[in-house]
Amino acid sequence: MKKYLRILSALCLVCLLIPTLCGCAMVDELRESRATYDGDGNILWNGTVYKKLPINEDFCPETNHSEVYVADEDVPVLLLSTYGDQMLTADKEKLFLEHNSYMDERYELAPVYYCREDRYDEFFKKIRYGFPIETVCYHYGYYDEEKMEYIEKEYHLTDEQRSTIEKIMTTVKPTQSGEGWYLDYEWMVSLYDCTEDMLFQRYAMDVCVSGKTYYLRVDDERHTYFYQVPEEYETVFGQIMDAYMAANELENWQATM
Amino acid sequence: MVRKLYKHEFMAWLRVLPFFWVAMLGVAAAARFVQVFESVQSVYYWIVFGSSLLTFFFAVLVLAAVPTVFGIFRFYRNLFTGEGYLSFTLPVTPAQHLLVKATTAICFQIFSLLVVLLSFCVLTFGDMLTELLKAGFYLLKQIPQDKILHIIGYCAEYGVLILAGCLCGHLMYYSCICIGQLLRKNRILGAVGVYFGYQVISQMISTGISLFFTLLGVAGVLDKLIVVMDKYPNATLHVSLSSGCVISLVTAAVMWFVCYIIIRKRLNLE
Repeated sequence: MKKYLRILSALCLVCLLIPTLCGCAMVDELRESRATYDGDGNILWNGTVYKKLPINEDFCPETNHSEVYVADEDVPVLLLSTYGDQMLTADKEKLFLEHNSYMDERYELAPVYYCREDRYDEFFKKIRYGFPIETVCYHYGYYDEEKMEYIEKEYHLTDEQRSTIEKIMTTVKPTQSGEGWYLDYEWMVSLYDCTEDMLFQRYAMDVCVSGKTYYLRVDDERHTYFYQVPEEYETVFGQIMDAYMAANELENWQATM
Repeated sequence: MVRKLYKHEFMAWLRVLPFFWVAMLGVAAAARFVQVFESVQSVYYWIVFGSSLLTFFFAVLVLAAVPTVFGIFRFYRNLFTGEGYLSFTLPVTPAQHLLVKATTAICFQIFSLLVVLLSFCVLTFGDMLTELLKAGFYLLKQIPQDKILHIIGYCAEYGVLILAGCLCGHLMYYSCICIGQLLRKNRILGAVGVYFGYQVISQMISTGISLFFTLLGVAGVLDKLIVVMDKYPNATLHVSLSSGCVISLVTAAVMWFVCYIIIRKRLNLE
């Protein structure tokens, strides 16, 4: 009886082990990263259709470098990177796929985005007819020693700060750079007009700091103009630059350590 | 008698080699078993997994070396130590002795290679092995129809090259031992010295040949040949593989001749 029990338990153990010995995380990941073209130029990935968006330089969703390969059904998963088109997933919600192999008219590699079908119309309209400026921000970053990674953040200007900038642009007479006048500034941040979700961003102007004076720098097609910020608005601009200066000071302090 | 000699030689090898084969398969099975815990994505898992892979590759290296080492050991002990007095009383010619030793060693080297392949299958057992086979068949299907004959030819040439290389290698070690045993003392040390002598000579020859061809290239003599090689890349590869086979076989023949002459005419047993 004992002998049969041993054989039975050994068989049970083998039966339990075989399924666990069959799986492979790497193969499973590759299987998840497989996508196919549906014949109309769209991509089918995990049962969701992704449609190709028109190329637009203001449209810049953040890529999180998780790879997806678009290939024929018969291509084995281990050869996906060889025979498939590599895409990167952009946005955490798996909303976009980014493909970098489109050659634009300047012969530069321009990213092509494929958007989830259910949100396509919304993004297509914003690309074709322009996006609403919902916020103005600048990007800054610092190295977090505890997390041991570079943290990138955005500072969003308040309504008051935005209206101050608008006021300066309408009331102050700009100085054109290059005609016997150059600004030697110490710090500069670039402001971007954005949508709330930060998917659309367009360069607007720069804020420059020279000594204790702030300037707004605006470029048109041929010239660069500087608007000197009046003394009464220096506090507002000081607040705008605070986050950037704090990050900068932290980096300088880290560099001296 | 040669058949009996083969039988005893195979039995002697089978007393030792299966231990290494089982160990190799055991290491592969252990490394595969470690992967059961791959869902535990912790540093400890990666340390254990990395160590198991490292052990596997170390075991492959050991298994690649064992047939050569054991072949040298069998050759020296059977023919040049006290056992030699018994071996050479058998009704077997020196050529047959050499043939039996060399072919058995090559056979077990091939068996060991098959065990390495089997252990790789054990290591990747499951989804990974299935996908590897799928990828292999897919790549085979991608070969254009007009290249299939060339590919078969390359495989055959590589096979012959590997066999000729094994034969040449074993006979080189045998000839080192044969030349070393001509000394009165320090015979093993002498054999090692002969081995290094061979290496120096082969390096000098290969350097001389590459220098010669470099000079020919500088003088522009090889320009037409390069054009022809560019035009017929398949034929170039066939010729280079075949010439590799011929060089290995010629070297093996020279080594064979050295061993044969020494065993037949200058045998110097302890």
